[in-house]
Amino acid sequence: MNTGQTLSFSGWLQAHAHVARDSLARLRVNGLSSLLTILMMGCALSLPTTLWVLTQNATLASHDWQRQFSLTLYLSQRINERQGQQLLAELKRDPLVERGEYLSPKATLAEFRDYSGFGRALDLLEDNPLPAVIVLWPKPGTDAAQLDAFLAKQHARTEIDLAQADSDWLERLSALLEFGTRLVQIMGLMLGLTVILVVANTIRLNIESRREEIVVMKLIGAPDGFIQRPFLYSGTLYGLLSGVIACLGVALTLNALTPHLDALAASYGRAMDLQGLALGDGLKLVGLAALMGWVGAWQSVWRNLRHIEPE
Amino acid sequence: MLELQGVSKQYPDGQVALDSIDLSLGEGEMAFLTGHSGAGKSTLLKLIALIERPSQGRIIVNGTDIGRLPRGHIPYYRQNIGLIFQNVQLLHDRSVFDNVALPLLIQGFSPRDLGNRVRAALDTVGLLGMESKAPVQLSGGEQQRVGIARALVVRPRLILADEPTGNLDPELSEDIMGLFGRFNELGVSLMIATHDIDLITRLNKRRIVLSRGLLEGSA
Repeated sequence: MNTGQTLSFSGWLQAHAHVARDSLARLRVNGLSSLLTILMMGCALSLPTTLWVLTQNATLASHDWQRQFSLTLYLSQRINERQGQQLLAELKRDPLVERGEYLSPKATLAEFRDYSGFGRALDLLEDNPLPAVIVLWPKPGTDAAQLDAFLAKQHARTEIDLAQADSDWLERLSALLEFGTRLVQIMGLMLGLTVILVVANTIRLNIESRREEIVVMKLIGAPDGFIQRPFLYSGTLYGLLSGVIACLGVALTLNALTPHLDALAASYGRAMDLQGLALGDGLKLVGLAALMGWVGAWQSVWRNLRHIEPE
Repeated sequence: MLELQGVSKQYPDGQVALDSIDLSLGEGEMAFLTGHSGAGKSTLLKLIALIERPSQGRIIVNGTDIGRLPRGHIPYYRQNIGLIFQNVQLLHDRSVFDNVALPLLIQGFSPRDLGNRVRAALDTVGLLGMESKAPVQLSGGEQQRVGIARALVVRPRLILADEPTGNLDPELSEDIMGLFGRFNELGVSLMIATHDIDLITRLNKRRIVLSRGLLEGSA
């Protein structure tokens, strides 16, 4: 029996290019319905991606906010200024600490006088009741648990009466970011699955409408690999194009949100510099979408093709 | 080339289509398979093409017991047989050229290299110059000849044809049978199911007669 022609690499490449062109042509033939399917998939993908971009931005911004966020250590009255400075020098060597400042009782009193408005009343006191204070600014990215442990350690020192942080605020922020990240993951999973199912169903309909053709191909000896190739190409193409649509969707959504986010940031006295989807991430999205298209098509082909046999 | 040993086919509804058929077709032999409709001609060809599996018996093609072929090997087995059907089974959204080129694409010929073989096959059936036409633009006889070109483009050593002239007028039928005769002269084995007795008588080839699933005669 003749065994057919062994395939050279360039021949293989040509055969695949042929199928790819064919798939593209078919996409054009089914123009409107293909377009609607791709738009639907693109919208589904743009939602978690937009949310992801927003969480990334919020995480970046939160590092910035933490910079203005400090820990206050109230020193014992027994500690003099020299000891206080020594303690500060020691604390600054801690990897969590970005910078620190020592405030003598005199300085804290002056600050308190400025902020509290008790100026006159304070003059009546014979002794300065305020302790010396060390203010520390933790490194950005330090999470609440690390901070709590650090504070507990300082609290245990005899030189320190009280160690405080506005960590409730930090905890809330990191919980919110955690929530956002989880939401992105779950939505990404659900909508990714949606995309795969949409492709699978579209390909199933394609297979159904080309049933006769598949039967003829099987009759003249086409192996499953040959028959499924155009469907896999179509699925991948659907995914790829929906990825491009998703990138556009993300850009448009962020564009629409920018004025509102600016206004929001301004109300907190901050400037917001919204970062869009980076080129690399955009390409990753397109690649991932293409992969999902392939998976959907493969699943559909695997389930539907083997049932079509000549009779 | 082809040997059937005690082949029976019973369909799930109980109908016995073939009953203990013993038959062989030699290398380079041409035989007509005849019998009234429902005699089992199509079933026999389907068994050889592995479209159906026999209920009993063995079918040996080129020394291979095809009953033992796993599902994944069936396509490669079929690539070596030229199958021709009464309803031609062309792909109507493709040109004549693409229809004839399909078996070559399946076998992995690069799209650039198959032009000559496609044109040679079309030339053999007298359709050179029709490459770019759509099947619907052709007459019934021309479509049938495209189907034949598709079967022979891979240069099979065995051709199975099921009522290839069933829809054609006598003159076209004779043309096509003449074509088969020429393939046979080139050493191709053919088994052709037909009920066109006139034609068979004139061609003077071996006749295998089936009747209600039984082999009635082979001469």
